[in-house]
Amino acid sequence: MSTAEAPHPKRWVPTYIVLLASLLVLSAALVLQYIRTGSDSYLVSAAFVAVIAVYTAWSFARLITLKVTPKSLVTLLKCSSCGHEVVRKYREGDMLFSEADACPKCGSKMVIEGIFLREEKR
Amino acid sequence: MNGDATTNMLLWIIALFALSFLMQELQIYRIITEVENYLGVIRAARERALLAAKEQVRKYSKSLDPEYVSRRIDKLIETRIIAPTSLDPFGLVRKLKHVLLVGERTLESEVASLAPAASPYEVQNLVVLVDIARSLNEVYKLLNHYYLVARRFKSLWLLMQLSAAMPFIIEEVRAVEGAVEAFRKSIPIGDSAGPLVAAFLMRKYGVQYVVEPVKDTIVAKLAYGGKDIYVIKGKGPGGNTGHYDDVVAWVIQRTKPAVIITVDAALRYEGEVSGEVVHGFGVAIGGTGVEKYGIEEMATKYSIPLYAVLIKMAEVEALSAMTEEVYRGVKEGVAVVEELLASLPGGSSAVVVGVGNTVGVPP
Repeated sequence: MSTAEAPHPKRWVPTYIVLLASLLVLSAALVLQYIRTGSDSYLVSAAFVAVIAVYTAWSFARLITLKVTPKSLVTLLKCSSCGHEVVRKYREGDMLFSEADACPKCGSKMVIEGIFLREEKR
Repeated sequence: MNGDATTNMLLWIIALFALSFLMQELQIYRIITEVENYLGVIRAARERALLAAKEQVRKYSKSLDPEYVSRRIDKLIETRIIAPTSLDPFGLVRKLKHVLLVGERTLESEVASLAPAASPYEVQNLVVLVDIARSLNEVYKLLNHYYLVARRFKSLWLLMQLSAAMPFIIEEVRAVEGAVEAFRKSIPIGDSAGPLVAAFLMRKYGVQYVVEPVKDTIVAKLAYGGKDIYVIKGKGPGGNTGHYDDVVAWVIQRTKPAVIITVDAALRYEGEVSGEVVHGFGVAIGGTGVEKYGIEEMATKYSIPLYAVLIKMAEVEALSAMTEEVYRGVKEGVAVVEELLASLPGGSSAVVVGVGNTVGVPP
């Protein structure tokens, strides 16, 4: 609805997956090298990479649990005769308290009672 | 051996010393990048708002040169309101009101001359769009100024202050920008909650008469259970807030109300629910305080109780298209005002003021 929709944060998901996988592979390779050579420097490097991997995984977990609920503009119509209410998508030109569609129950004219943003059901 | 240890120690000290400087430089660089990113977001918001204002004005200015219209709008967003001096505070509110009225009228006539095909209410919406671009332009220029000064002096502390304030400023910028679409479509925003309550009351009880004693502000007299209820709101459906103090004065000249009830949107704290309705005492009007002062003066002079009905919402919700939660709050607000009116003795009168921008809410 807004002209300034912020970019969806979940666009970073593929980047996180690639980064996390690379870090895990690197960490595992360093541990293997340590086992093969017995050199402490591999173990230190593996620990360092593992710390970065944990931090990346934590950030990733925060990102995927992030809830972004889209909202859409709707128009609430109320029948002036029988009081029946209908909610439909907003149409260009809808104006509060103006007459709009016919009532699906009694056929009388319906009046626009509200125009508002509603959370979309997923 | 001893010589090696001393050299090592010296090298370590030099490295630590160099590192402390390097860390500070890195930190400055990191904050500069962060502030630059935020500034980019604000600049983009300003550009979008300006473009939206220009496009919308051009719709109604087919007979004028588009370049001329664009240049005029560029000039309009640079205009400033200069508050009167407070060296002598006597009559300050009156002076401020005068300055604001002059600014408001001039902007409206300028926009009307640029959009000759627009109806009065469309002109009001265009004025708000230009005003949004003007606010964003002002925010951007101010922040950019601080950023450039901080960068010129490489002041970590100035940059840190800017960086700390930026998330809050961005929230406000997003809120202001959210209003653009609502004013283009002329649909109610969260801040229209007060005028919407007033409009629902007018429709529910039927009006005996509606007058516009002050430009862009209407007062409707309702017959509510043997009581005279005067409902005041901005005219609508164009985006304006009306001049409530002058209209309340108009009503007080004719009757002595038992109560003045102001209905307005109120900012909620984090953790509170949007659309919640709460009672208050006093005048619920934000902004410059000019109208609040006027109503408080009259109420104190004539000993009229001041009640407020507040509909809570976040800042973003106040300036963007109305959300369903706020709409439900409006319905509840109508019920709360009815309760207050029902408690008044028979034959008395009351004033209900629907405070807020009346965009998309016709009389």
